[in-house]
Amino acid sequence: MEQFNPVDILIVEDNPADSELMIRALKKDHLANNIFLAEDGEEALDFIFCRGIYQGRQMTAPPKVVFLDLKLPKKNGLEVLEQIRAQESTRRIPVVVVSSSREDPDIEKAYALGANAYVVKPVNFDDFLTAMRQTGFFWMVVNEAPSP
Amino acid sequence: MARIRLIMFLLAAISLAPEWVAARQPGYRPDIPDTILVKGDHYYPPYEFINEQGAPDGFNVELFEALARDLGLTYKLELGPWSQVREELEAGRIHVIMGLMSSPGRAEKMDFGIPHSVMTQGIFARKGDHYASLDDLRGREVVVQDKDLMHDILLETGLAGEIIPVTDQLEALMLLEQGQHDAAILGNFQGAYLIRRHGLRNVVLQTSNLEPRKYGMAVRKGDAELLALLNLGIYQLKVSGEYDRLYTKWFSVYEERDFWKEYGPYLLILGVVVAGLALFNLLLRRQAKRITAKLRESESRYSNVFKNNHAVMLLVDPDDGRIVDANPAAEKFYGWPREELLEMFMHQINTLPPEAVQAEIRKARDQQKDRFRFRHRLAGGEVRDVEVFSGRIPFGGKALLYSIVNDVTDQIKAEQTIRKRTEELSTLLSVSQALAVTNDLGRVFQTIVEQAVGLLKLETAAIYLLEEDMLYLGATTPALPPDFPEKLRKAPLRDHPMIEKTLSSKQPLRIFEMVDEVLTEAERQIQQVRGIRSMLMVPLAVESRVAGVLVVGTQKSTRHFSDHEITLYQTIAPQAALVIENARLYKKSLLYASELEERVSQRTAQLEASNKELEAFAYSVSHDLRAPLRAIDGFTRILLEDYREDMDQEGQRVCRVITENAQKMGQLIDDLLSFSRLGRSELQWYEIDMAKMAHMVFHELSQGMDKGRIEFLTDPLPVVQGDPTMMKQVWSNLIGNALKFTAREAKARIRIHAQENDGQPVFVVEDNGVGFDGQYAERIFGVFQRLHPEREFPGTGVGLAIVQRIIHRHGGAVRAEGEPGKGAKFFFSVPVR
Repeated sequence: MEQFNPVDILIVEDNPADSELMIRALKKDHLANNIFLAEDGEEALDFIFCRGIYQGRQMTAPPKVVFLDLKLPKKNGLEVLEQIRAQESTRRIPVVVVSSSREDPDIEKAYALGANAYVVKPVNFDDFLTAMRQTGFFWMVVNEAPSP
Repeated sequence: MARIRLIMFLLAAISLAPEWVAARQPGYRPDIPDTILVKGDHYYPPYEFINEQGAPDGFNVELFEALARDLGLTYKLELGPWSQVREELEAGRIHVIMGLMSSPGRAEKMDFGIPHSVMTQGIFARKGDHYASLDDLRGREVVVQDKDLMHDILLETGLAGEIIPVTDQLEALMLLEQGQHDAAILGNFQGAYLIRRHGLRNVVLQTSNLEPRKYGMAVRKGDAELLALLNLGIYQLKVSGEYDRLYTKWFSVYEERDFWKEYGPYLLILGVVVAGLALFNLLLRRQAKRITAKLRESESRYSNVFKNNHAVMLLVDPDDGRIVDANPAAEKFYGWPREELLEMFMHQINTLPPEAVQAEIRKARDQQKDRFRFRHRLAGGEVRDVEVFSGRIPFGGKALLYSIVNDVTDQIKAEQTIRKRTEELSTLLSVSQALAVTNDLGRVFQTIVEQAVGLLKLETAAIYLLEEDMLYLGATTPALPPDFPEKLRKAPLRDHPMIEKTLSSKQPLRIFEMVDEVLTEAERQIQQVRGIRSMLMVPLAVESRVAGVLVVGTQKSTRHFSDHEITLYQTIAPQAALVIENARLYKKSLLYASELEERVSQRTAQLEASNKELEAFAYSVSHDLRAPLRAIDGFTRILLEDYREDMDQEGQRVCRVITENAQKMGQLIDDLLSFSRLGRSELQWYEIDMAKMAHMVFHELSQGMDKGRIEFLTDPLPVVQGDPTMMKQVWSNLIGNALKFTAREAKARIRIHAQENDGQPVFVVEDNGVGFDGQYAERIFGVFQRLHPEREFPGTGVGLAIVQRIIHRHGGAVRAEGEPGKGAKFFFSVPVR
């Protein structure tokens, strides 16, 4: 708590309405100033591993938390998660899986691959906000990343 | 000449017998009393009892009277209380008890005559009860006659729960008739007689013929002379037919069974023994009457026994086996005149070697053995099976042997026939057993041919099966040679006219000598390969359906098949045909079954695939339908929050309507998904405390409500087996409904209780809410079915559909009752697993 640092959040979400609402929710609470949106799995991986169009990005500043939708164009959420966990440099990045249904069988798989938490996107905007705030707050502020 | 020998023999016996008897029985008084005192039970019908005229009556009484008449005895017959009668005999105050069951214990106190009946016991009980054996009486209250045989047996075995001894059998039956105690064990006939005699309505004989015991007369211990006389009398009554007449008179009412058929052979043997005893008696009697005027009369009577007796009697010297005397029956039987017999030795008659004959004679002399089975040679060279009873008799200063010879040849022949028939029957039985347990056609055929050969010890058998117009060789014994031509294993029916004829006529066909017959080429070949001489062909048919033929035959010699033998095979044939048919059907059914199985697995795979598709569809519905809803809700909210100032009241209301509806659609999708999940997920069975669960659910749902307004009552509820998560959903939906629909009541009352229906617990959730129109009671469980306007009571209409689905998956049923304004009742059953 004593160390309030606005940090990077990577949101991986292809639905523009959802991503807008998420970003709005996070910004409204001033949890993050620097939120980055990737719209498919490949872009997310490029961003994280500083390659492709993100070649110039610094690997030394990984996102503090990734909100990862599971249903994505090109590479899906599980593949993205798997690759993040496969690399020593990125495997400690907290990943919150975002799904539109509790019924999603991929949630289980995501946990098995090392997801830190999951959020269900409720229809109700208020609930959505609450969920985003709670998980975002926890991973951004309370949970301190282990020192490398 | 013969007469002189006989009289000499008798006189010698008379003079010697007393010493011999006296030596064995010290203190023995050889006299037969002038007046024989006879007693029996005064109430033991139908054997012995005082009749309405106050006179002794019954089977025993009439039997004794007939016997005494026959033997010319003077007697005094009285009936009295049983225990007293027994005491009198044991104390020596009377001479004879007319009827008594023999037992080792009793044999120490008295001597028993040959049984004149077999007394059996029966279980008597009230109609409607069932006692099939003594075992069924375990732990019951059983009435018996005091000191009766069954009293002893029950005491020994400790079988009955309680033994109630009563003084007489009628009392026992009356107790049962009046509804007391459970059962009584009484003599079969006595009980049946008393039930008839006294018109008892409730009591019946349930099981008869228990504990068969010999029943006959008894005399004082050591009174062998009197006993022999009585035995002789009984034997004579049996021979004369008087016994049968009395037996039928007294007992046929109670029993259809023919006493002689059942016990005849047994009694016949006894008869022979009796005749032997009679011979003794003859000697003893003679002595007893020595100084009386009756001497002559007796002499002639007893000489008659020897001379006119139907039984073959011989007197033999045990030292060398010489025949000392023979009676006329012996002359007639052996075919040698008496003079010649008296020159002969036993080993000339007996087929055993002389030294073996001597050894047997020694056994009889030393009293090691008294009954023998021999084969005796007759004058004509014929050999007969005989049963010989042999005993020692003092004669002229030395012990001779008397032998009573009974021709049992016919009996043995009959026994052999019976044995043969039994063997045949057991073969038939083993065939049907072997056939009953297998559906393997090959084994069925093999069993049939092997048993068919075994039945008459034949040499060859085969089964031909008919399919369409072709004959197939089903099985053979002995096995076919490897080079047996294929065209003989499978041939058109027309090549085998004999089989064709048997099949079309459905009659057996017998051929005495195959080689004499006109045969087709195929038949000729088979005859030669198999070496068949005589042959019998039996059709294997069930009703009009012909399966094939069974062929049996000889190889070494010819043989005539008798009608009886053909009948034997005809007995097997329908069974065999049926089994062949069954086995064929079974084979077919296996084929169908595997086809069916394949189809089922195909369908299952299809279903699984479409189920997966459906799940994927459900998921994508939830995902894809919710995303736009989320956007509608989210952005409308942004409008409300960030652009409120730009909207008037109506604009804001419209925005709220949009978000409300978006949320409602989200709820609908969620409910629908959980409803479909109920159909898929597997039930986890646990024991569920329903009362506890209902309370918990109520507590959760009523949080934040005014508890003072709501009265929640639960009766004790049964524990059930079920899936706790799902069952909680049931309570949650039902109690949730009850809370919802009583929300407007000033005092809400929700009551939960349980009933039982057909042994299954039925739970009831009852409320005093708005209720519903009873005509919709069935429709209420449908998906999206609502009976109240959304505005009044919000809901998606899936809750009760979920309840119904969960209960159905538990094997139970749901039901609702309601009336507008008067509350609702929801019933659901959870069957015991």
